[in-house]
Amino acid sequence: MFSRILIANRGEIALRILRACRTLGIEAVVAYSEADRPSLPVQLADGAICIGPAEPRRSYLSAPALLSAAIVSGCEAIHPGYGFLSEDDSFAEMVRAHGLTFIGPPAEVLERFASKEATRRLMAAHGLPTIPGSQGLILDDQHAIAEAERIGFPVLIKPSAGGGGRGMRMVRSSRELLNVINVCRSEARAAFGDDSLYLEKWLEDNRHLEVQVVVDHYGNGVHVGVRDCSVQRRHQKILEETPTTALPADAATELAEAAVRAAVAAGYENVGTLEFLADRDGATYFIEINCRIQVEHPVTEMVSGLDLVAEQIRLAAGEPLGYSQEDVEQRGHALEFRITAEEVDDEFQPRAGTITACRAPAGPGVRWDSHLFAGYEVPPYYDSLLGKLVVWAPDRPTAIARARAALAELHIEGIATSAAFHRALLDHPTFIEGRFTTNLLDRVGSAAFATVSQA
Amino acid sequence: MADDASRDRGSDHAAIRRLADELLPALMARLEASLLGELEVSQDGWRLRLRKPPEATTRTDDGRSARAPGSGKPALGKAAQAEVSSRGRGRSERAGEPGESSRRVVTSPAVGTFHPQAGASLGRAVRAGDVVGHVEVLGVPQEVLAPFDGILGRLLVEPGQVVEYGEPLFRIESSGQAPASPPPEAARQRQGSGP
Repeated sequence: MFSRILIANRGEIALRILRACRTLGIEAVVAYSEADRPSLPVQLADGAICIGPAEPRRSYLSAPALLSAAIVSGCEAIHPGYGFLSEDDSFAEMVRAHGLTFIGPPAEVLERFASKEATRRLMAAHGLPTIPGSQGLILDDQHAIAEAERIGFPVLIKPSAGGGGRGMRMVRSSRELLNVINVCRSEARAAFGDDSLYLEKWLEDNRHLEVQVVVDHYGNGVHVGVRDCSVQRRHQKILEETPTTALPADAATELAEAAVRAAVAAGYENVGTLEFLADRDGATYFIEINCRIQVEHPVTEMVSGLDLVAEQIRLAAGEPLGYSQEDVEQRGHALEFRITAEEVDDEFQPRAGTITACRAPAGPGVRWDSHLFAGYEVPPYYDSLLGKLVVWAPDRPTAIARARAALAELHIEGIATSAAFHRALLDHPTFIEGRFTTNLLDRVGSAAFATVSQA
Repeated sequence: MADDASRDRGSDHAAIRRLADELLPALMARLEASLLGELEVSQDGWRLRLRKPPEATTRTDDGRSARAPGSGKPALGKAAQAEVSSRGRGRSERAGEPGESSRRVVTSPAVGTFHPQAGASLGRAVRAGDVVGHVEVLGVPQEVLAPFDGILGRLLVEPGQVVEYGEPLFRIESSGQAPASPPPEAARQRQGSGP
């Protein structure tokens, strides 16, 4: 096991990794940009080292800066968190080349799953159903139209390299496709440095499900159930829960078992997530694998009692899994609310500013993963996530009731947040009945949705 | 005549203050977050150009390097570029607080091990761009450049010491060379060091 780790990330996930290190008795050094000097992870870590200016390209995305920081501070491993370099196989390779350990899948595993389009074919070969899509990458406009017509409109244009909804567009006709394909290309190029695109059949009223897997270096793997991330806005997740309401319990278990089987067979390693779409009839289709810890991992932790970040560290150190599927229990229901610095009434525009007051919610089953404190200045350079409110209860209705109370307790002053939007979501019959689909908010308009449900 | 000049000057001061306090921090944030190397804005006869240093040498040099060498443009507005932008970082420094400590240190451009240049010692006169040391990053030396003309002061870290990005390495005393075409406001900055 490692004695000191470099945390190559910021915000709430830096804090989350720090907490896992504390639990494992590992010292943690936080690598931070100038803009994050006054941040909570920097204050709380055993050590902190400034790696560059605010601009991510010269700090959190700078492999030399991070490697140098790890070496001079005597760290043996680097935890990349999510985003930034977390799924970058060449960074993982550089980390290894400098005699350090990358906490996540090894470089060759990241490389194997780097292309979404190739991953889809690989996982299909290991028995997972996939959404009908283009054969290979899109070559040019003519090819795109021909493939879209073969699959049948509507189709989803997707970048092969990245995630997070960037470069993604749903189109209903050839004309629409031609209108946006170049936008998708340039968004993909800007976000991931790779503008290759592919097409997928768009499933109307789909649900977004994902299976958490934990796999060691020796081919032992377990799943930790299915999360439901169907509450989305423009392909960005807003609220997540587990177990899913989209499938009966036995169907969800079947999906999870198929997922971990395929992941192990395809050579996946460490903690990861296989994402699926479920259609109206409950048929599920594999879409992609996330080779990192995910923002929404806490809901799985709440029902299973596992510490997924600690598992990442343990497995990266080469420890065997040490338990089997029968040992993984899932009890009760958990919800996670992403509290972001966004002006809901203004198209969810991100906001920077100073937190003048901050009161965290508490109570049975309530967890608040956040780097906020009164006086903290939210910098304008990074994503707008302020914190994650996670609520557990023995059953879903109780979890919703606890979440209402916790959201009412949560009080953040000085900056616009999405908290009120979440309160509105919780009161909406579609959510209460567990019938949310990924395109619902975009179809009805988020602002209208919030207004209607408040009335 | 004199009244006109002072009125002009007064409105120029007001404009500089507005640029420094309102426009500039926003522009700098934009530039910082973007992949652009340079940003130029024209407004009310003022032109403001921000340029990123190729590799930051000091914590405050973004404004300094925005000053084109030998840009002896007579108009106040143009010459004021450097003066205005060097305030930056969203915190305006008021008259009488020239920010001596942050402005007059050479800071580390990277995380690594610092080695001062041979001869870069106390009292040595340096010109902007002179190499005063190296920070070794993964075995590759990265140059530490003097951000402006001056006299090297005390070394603030030990040779061979591990430094982080932005860590103060040297003090540097101004040699008194004022920026080209100083705006009237710059007069207060010349006090103390003498031309």
